[in-house]
Amino acid sequence: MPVFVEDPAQFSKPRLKSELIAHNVTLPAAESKKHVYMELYSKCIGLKSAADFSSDEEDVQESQDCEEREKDPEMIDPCGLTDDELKATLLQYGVEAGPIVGTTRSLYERKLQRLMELAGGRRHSETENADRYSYSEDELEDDQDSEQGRAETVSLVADKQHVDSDIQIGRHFPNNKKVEYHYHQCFLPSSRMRFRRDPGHFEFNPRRNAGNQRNVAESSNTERRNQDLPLPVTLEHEAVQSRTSSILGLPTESVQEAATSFPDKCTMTNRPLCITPKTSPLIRQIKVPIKDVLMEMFPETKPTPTGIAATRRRPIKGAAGRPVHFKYPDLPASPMAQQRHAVERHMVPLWVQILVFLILGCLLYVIYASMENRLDNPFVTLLDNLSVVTERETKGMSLQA
Amino acid sequence: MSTTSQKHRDFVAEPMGEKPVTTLSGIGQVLGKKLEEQGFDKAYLVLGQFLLLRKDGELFTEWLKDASGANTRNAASCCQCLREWCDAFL
Repeated sequence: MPVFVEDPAQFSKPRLKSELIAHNVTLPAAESKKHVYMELYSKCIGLKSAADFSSDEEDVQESQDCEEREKDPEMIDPCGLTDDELKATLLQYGVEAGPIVGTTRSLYERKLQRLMELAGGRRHSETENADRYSYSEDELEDDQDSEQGRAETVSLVADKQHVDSDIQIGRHFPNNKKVEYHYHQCFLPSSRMRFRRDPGHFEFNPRRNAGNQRNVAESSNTERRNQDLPLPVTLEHEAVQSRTSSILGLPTESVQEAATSFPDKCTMTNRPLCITPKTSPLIRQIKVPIKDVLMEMFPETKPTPTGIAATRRRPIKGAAGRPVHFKYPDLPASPMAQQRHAVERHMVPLWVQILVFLILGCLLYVIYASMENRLDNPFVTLLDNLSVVTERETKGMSLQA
Repeated sequence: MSTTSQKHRDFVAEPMGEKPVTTLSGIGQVLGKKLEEQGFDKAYLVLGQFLLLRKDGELFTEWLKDASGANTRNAASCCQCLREWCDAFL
């Protein structure tokens, strides 16, 4: 399992070298030892990363995730749990864990983490307001205001991260370098490393993004073309707006707001920013990967112009929230109940049948008994007498003759 | 998976006994070697891990991918193989 830790002591010498190059730090002499590199690394990059981090789109998302995590008090680190606690926590999420031993623990930890992120995302999307969310983002940027002029280097760490997540979602999107920021982290099977990352290492560089608005717009346009969705005109408009405002020297905050709201709002929803309803971006972030499944589940529902899940998600919640037969009254109950119904339906005829059988039995017995009695019946003697009488009569007749 | 490999059928056909890990469907020489390095030299050890994960295919494939570097297809094949073996012999 790949574990990336921001500890220079664990880096190999070539790795340290490339990190230093990536951060525009002049390398020491070629024959220097590893600790020289390490010192240089911790001096130059360690300080920098405490305040900022060279960013690309992914970092924006990462910082959001970290923030989100900080805001969520129920997000606990599964690595810190004991085996029993881990098992109990998994049970809370409806997963019945097997024995947690050395070979299974890491798997269950990851599973729990995924579940927590999913649950956290859902909770956020239900409760949170888009405005609040984007304002909190702005606060983050204010801290990093001074770092705007930085060189646009992408650190190796970020690249590694990229590669890591590429592996995870590469199957779905071959061109995910561009698409990646569309995805909320909870849909990437997260490695532990991400969880441990220091939020201070992420920097959002608004000016750079503002400068790259065209690129972002282009990439999202290609994405949009792939999805056969209408192309929002306001994307360009937005980019132009944020540019001009920075040129005109408007308050940086508004520029930043435009810049930050751009990648998550526009790209997540695939629709113009100006008509974006005030729903949480998280809904959209969650929406995008689920889309296919929902389309499968409800093929007849037409995609809404917003592309938002609100209407589509409701049936899922409804079905999960209350018992199924309220939702679908036609559905049969449990097989046991069904059986009982069938038995009850057969019950009365069965009882009647038994009664009829008994009556028939009694009748037959009565007939049988009466037949037996007939043997010593007066009728028998009567019959005998009759024959005797006829005999006598014939005798008398013959005598008379 | 609509069709199963010969290896799969061979494995599922009889009790695994002391078969090596490479007899598992989806585990070839390379993956088998990696598993052996981690102590999983017999098929029943992999079965043990499968059972420890409550026969959960998702977790098992994840583990197999981590442990041996198997790809999704191989891991799924191995998982199905073990599951069918369990259905037959457990």
